[in-house]
Amino acid sequence: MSAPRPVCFVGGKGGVGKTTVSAALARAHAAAGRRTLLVSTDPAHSTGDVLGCRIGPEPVEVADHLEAVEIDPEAVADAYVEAVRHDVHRAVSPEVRATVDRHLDLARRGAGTLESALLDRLGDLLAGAGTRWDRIVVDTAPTGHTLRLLAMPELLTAWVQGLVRQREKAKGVDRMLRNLAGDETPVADPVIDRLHAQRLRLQRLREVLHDDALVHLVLIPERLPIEETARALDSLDAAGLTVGSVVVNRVLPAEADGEFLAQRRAQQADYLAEIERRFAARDLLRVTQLPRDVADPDSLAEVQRQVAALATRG
Amino acid sequence: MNGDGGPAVRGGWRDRLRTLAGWHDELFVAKWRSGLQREARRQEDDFLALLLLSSYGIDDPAAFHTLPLTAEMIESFHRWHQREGHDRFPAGGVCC
Repeated sequence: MSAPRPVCFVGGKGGVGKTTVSAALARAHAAAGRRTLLVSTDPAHSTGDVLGCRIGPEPVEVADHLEAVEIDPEAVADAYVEAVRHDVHRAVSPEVRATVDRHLDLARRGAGTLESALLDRLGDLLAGAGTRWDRIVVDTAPTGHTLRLLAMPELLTAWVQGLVRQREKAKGVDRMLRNLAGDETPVADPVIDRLHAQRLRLQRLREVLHDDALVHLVLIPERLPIEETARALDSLDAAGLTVGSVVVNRVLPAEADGEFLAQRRAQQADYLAEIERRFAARDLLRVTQLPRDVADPDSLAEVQRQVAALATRG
Repeated sequence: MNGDGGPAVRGGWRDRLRTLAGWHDELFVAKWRSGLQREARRQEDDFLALLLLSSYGIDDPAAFHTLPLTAEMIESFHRWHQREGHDRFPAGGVCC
């Protein structure tokens, strides 16, 4: 791989340890002296629990060289819609305000609103990659959401570009009409300016995702996560996104004893062989299961030691 | 056309030319103009329809990103629904 990419997403099926791996990876980057931001996008935030401190919607320093932030899509959407409401109220007569308010309230509760708000905020944070932060590690929601989120900027860029074209067509006919009446003065169109600004933002985000980001996928050696990972790898390849490593988490250590664990380990060995075979073209990293869950600094430090290789690879 | 600004022609030529230009305008330009006006309205309506997809229950992935256009587009919404013969906008509570 060429130059290290400043952004990485950590994805995978629910419950496989994305948050722990993300936190450990971010700590590994920070420990290597890189200014690092850890972003949690999962609405069920638990990054603060793993790090053992409170974090919020603005980046806060949690360790040397390490900041963390939990995106709150509800709050982002609220602030965004309120800003639009403020604009509209200045532009329209008092009698239509009530109905415009209803429109905005509907839009606020609309199906894709929270996802778009999340994307918007993520775009703002990722714009700091390479300047304010050397590395940004993004802990994501379970696979399906993440794939959609990563594909959205491309879709939206094309969509907004379509709107720009339609608007230009309408304004072109308008201009011909004015020319016909002998009016040659150019007319500013704030609509097209806003559309262009939006398209530019989305296009930049798309470029960051395609050119500056890696996606690491986490799984555990079990049937369902293996299948989901295989599908996710296909989707990422198809979307033109770059896969970093496949992290096999919670591998039972050889020293785990007892009949029960021996049986589980035998089954894991089968799955691990399958993972090695099916993901042979990928960069694989194993993380062994610890005797205790990762809810204290010592266990996190141990996971950090195990994923440090990821930090040097990308 | 040359007549304008040239040496004075005998009375009537200028008027006749002007009348002729008036006829030409009425016959061709006015038609063209009203055709263009219709086209301009149609293009603007298409643009509005694209912005209002979600009001019709059609999935609009860009709804969030086009919401800030509401301030500028509200006048167009209003002209459109009145032109379509609705005193009040029938869907979604976008306008009056």
